[in-house]
Amino acid sequence: VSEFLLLGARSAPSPEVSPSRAARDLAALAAWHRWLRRWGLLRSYAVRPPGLAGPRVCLIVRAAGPAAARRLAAGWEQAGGYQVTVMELCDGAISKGRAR
Amino acid sequence: VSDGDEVALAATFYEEWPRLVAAALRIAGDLQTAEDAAQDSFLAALDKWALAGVPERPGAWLMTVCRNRARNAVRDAGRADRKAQSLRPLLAGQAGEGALTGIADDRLRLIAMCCHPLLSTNAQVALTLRMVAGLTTEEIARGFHTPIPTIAQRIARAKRILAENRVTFASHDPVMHGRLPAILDVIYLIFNEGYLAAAGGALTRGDLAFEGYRLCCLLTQLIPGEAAPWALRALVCFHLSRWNTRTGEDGELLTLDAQDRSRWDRALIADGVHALAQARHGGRGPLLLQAELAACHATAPSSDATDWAAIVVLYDELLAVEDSPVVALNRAVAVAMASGPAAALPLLDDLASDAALARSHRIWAVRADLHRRLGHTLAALDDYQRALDLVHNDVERRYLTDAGRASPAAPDTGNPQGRLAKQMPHTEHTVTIDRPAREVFDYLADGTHNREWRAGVLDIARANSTTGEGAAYRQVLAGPGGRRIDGDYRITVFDPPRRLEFLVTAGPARPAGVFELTDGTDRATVVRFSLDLRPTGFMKLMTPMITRQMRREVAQLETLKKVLEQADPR
Repeated sequence: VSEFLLLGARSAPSPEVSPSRAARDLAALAAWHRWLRRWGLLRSYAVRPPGLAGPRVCLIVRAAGPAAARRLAAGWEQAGGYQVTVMELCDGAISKGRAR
Repeated sequence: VSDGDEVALAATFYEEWPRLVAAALRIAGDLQTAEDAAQDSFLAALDKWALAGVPERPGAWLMTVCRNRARNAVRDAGRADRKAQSLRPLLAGQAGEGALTGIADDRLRLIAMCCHPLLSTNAQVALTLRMVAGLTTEEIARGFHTPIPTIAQRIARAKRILAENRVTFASHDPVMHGRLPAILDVIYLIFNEGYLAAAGGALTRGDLAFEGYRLCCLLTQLIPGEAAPWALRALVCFHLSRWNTRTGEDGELLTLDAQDRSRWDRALIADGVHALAQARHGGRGPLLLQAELAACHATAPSSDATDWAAIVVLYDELLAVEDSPVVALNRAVAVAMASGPAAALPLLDDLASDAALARSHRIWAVRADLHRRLGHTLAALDDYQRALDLVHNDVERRYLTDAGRASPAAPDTGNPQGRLAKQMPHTEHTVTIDRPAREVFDYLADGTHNREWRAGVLDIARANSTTGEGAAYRQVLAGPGGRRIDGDYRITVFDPPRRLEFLVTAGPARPAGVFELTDGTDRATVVRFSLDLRPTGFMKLMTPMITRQMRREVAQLETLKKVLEQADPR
């Protein structure tokens, strides 16, 4: 099992989100995160403060390999509407760089 | 965030959206930046709340993010000095100098801005839905069956017009009262568009109708002392209470008397009654009277218990303040219910001369129904056909088609995708002639007899020597204004003594005709004569007129019966 960094960015300009759509997306996204936690796959996360450029959210997840990490990334893209980049973390990077 | 929280979250987002736009507008001074800031605060909430949970005060969290985003946008654009310039009146307004005393809340100010008289009604509607209701461009486009780029352009142009004319958030506008009628019009339009979609496959478009209701609630919350918004809210409530019962299981239209009243939304009716009570504190304007009318229906325990006499009185009052053909049409319907169809028919005949009303399917649908109830079946069919020619909504089209078929004289084509539905002119008529089938068939097959039983045939002669199938006739008919028009035809099916088919081969309209003969009782013959036409090009415009002509044509079977029976009485 390896650890991977998933970087979630949003396309620019941001897609429009209506109140009902925002609520629906939020519920779906939260459910996806709960699922990650239940299976012990979410190691940590960080959310970019609003207004700064760059990826909006990063997750550190556990996955059996790059293919599994990419599948997780695809699930996250679908749930949250992010464009996700996957990076495999080297040994030791987690213990130093853990966000939470 | 649990799944069950979704509804509460949606309510929060709906509540906060106009506040965020308005707050950002105060800071940035232009709608585009304000919209972007509100949008970004929603996205930030998505990012953060999904992982960390919903904060204790979600509204405050969103507001902080939105304001920061707006400030950053102003700063990043390097427009601080210019913004300060444009914000001067706003800041002065905040201090009480030049403030819009009539507009107390930012959200109301926002609605008033979206309904600015510089904008077209379409632009007002689109901008209100985007800025006040928070609907996305795509959702608005879907609601109005309009391409997304069109709505996007409409909104962009509206923003540009407001910016070019320096309509700032706190400009020295007239007070709220002056803008209120336009605001109510926009909200009513939004509701109506959703409630009774003008075109398309679905009768109802929930999103828009409920947006209209939400906007009414917002307005009454913001200006509770004004009667007109309460009246609109009452009207919308009473209509919406029937939401789930207006169409049947197969999507067919259900009229009031056919709806299951036990399924009407009691909470909305109660809200409507409350709103109506508030509205009665004001004058008896058109909105209040319409709400009173809707209340008569919504609070009646059954269709039979509806107080139609009171409804007629209310329509009289409404006509006195808003003399419009549509109100007069609705009044005629109420008169028909209160005093019977015969009392209402002359009213409709008068209204049919109104050019605008004559272009609407509604008057013809109503008149067809009255004719049907009076037993005037041919007139009913004629009016149903006119209504079908004009209706755009598929569900209403289906209703009219079914109603037309249900008329006693309507042909049963046995085809669910029937000719009426396709608007392919079809007419038919059936008589029983007291003569043997063979004799009737021979008479019909010889076209030279046509002048004896068909009015309007000026001249007819054989065009070839063929008998039976392929026999052709050169025929001249009396056209409009006595003009001579060709009506040549050829026999296409010759199956004695049961079936004779022909096709008109010359002339402006070229229908196909069928005579079907079946044995009646006591050597009598049942003759069914049908005409079908597939109009093309310009002739499509003439369909209603051609249909009427075809109907007259098949009805001449009655003359055939007289001619044959008198020729050799038994």
